[in-house]
Amino acid sequence: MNTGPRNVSTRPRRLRVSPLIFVFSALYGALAALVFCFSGAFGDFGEHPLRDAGLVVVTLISSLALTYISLLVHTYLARRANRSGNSETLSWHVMIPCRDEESVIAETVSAARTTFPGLHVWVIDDDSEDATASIVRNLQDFDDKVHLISRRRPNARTGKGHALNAAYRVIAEATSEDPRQRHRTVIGVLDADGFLSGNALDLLAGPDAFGEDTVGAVQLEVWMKNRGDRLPRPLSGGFKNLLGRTLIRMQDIEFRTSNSAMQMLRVKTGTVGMGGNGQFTRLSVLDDLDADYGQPWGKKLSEDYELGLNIMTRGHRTHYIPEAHVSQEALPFTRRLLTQRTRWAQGNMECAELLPSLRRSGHLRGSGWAEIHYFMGQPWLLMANLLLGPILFVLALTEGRVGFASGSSVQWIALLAAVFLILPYFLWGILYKYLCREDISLLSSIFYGLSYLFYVYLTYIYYPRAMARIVSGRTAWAKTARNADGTRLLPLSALREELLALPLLDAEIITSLAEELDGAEDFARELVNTFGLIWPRRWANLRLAAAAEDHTATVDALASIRVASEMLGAERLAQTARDLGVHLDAVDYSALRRDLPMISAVGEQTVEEIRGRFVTV
Amino acid sequence: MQDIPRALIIEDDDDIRRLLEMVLTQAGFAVDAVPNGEEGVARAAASPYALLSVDVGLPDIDGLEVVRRVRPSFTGRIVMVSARSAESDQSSGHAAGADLYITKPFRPRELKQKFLDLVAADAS
Repeated sequence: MNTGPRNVSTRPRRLRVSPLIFVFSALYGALAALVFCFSGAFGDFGEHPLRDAGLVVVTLISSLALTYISLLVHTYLARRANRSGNSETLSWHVMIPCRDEESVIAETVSAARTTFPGLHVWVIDDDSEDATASIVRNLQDFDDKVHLISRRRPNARTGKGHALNAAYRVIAEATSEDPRQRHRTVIGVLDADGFLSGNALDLLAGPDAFGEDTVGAVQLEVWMKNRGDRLPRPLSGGFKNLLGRTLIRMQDIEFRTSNSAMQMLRVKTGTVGMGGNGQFTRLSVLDDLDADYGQPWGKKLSEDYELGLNIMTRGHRTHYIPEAHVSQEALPFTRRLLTQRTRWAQGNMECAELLPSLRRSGHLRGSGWAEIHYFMGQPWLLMANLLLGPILFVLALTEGRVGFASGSSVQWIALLAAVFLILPYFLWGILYKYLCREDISLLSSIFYGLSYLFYVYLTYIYYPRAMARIVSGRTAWAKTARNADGTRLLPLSALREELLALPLLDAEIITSLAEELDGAEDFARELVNTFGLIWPRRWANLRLAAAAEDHTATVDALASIRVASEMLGAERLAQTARDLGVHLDAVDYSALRRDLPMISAVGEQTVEEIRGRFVTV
Repeated sequence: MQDIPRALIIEDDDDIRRLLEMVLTQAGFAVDAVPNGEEGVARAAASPYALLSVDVGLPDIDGLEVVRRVRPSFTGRIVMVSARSAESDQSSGHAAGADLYITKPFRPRELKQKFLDLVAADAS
């Protein structure tokens, strides 16, 4: 996209954590000591040394947690916006590792290529057994910036890091040896279901990100693209769909509020972590890591977080941009979610062994040291709380200290619960409504805030599981299934005969289009090719809008399909869109959802027809 | 030498945007194009365009809102090109400040003529 120069300051900004945090920390420490040690609700301090030790530990953990959360909330509320730059000053590539991603890969490639005309998309097929590779090859027919890297066993399926390293080698060899060019070449990583926001490259090129020479890697905010889905578990009943919807919202809240706040804080402490999907790194930085470690991405389960730590160890800055995002599919299934989180937790904990080299590098300042050690220590602090909390509570109960009939103890417990257990998590639901500008009611945000409280406590399930796996040496993981896997499509015999009678492409209309463009057949051919490339994105837009029952978005998505089809003479697709429009006029979303596979099938047929007629291989 | 008139296209559909670029280029305009409303508003304010082509259904802000924001300080012509074809949609477009409301699908030759007529009316 052509973007002109902008009238903004290009001086780099260095943010710092306010020293006031020490005052807050002391205050929270005093409050926690008052509640746990000196209120008498959990025993008289000084009577039992073991219990005293437990109370001190709980006091420390609680005051640390409150200090940390205060920092997060302050950073989140008092953020400074990242500045835009001109994306044309840099060369852009994204790598998409894939293993059996046929249900999502077309729309991801289509969205990336049609949103960013200069972006090269490298799909790494890690020996898929489904149609992933052929789908990508088909898209290559329409676009020479779509690339496919095929890996085969025994060299394939050896981990995401290896797949990324293989693609790095291909891009590195295809790029000029000139160090300045390699410094200006940026390589991103996208999940197979990842959509970048339209402002992503301009913000990545800005003076707070790659416009600043010392920045080596940048992570974008993560959104959940199915956050509005009304039926995320289409084969299940009302309760499971309610649970699925809530789980999806929880993941969206998590990534856009508390996780985003953590990353914003890390911008100040110099410890921004890389999260895989939506992470971008300079080619020159990957070259540095390749020289140091023999390959940029390592072997840890969280190869993305490992990469970020190694980048910091090498002395490059990492940055975070919340104003641009990558959206991915959230999981509406509790079991799959727990499995995914256990894998992430195990991967992050594995990375603790990289901390000594980061400390020795001298590139960690005091606040960064504190942040990263607190983050890596959190699982252990949580586990200490998990053990000590119930023990101290049961002791207090058996000694009759927590008499729910007696006024003073009840008040203490209520205060403790509100300040230490509920408020720090509940508030993110409210912030989500007002700062993320999500179109939800205040009541919904309160519900989400309370749900988030329970959601956060899932950590008490997956951290112990991750620890158990580390102890037992289990590191093998199955790939998380996509929500759409196995839920499509309908047989073509279901198409009406009148529909089948219509041509997929009316050659006369394309000819007349070329004539009207003053005989510019190349232009007409380009338009037809663009239609083939853009179709998966158009289909995804319609599917997501209809799933969310977002009427305006659904009307626009369907109109986009109809208009583009009518202009190119794709009559069968245009008529299918008009037929679906009838359901939309009647606001009948269940009928629309039922017929969606039909437009998907006709769209695919149309693209095949275009390929057959216009693509010369 | 006479300056070449400039046109800005605000349209999120890549193929339609490309088609509009072709039509406007053939009509003699120097063309810029952006895929969303916010960027369009900023560009329209920053440069002296003779013509603005705005889609209604944009991914960030509504095209009608784009026209409302741009119109007070914009001296050129504004054309809304949209798939929304109801009478009320056209009225909303004119009320927001559009000079012309064209419904999609369109034929390139016809559209080119409408653009030329609109700008020619200014010249005369």
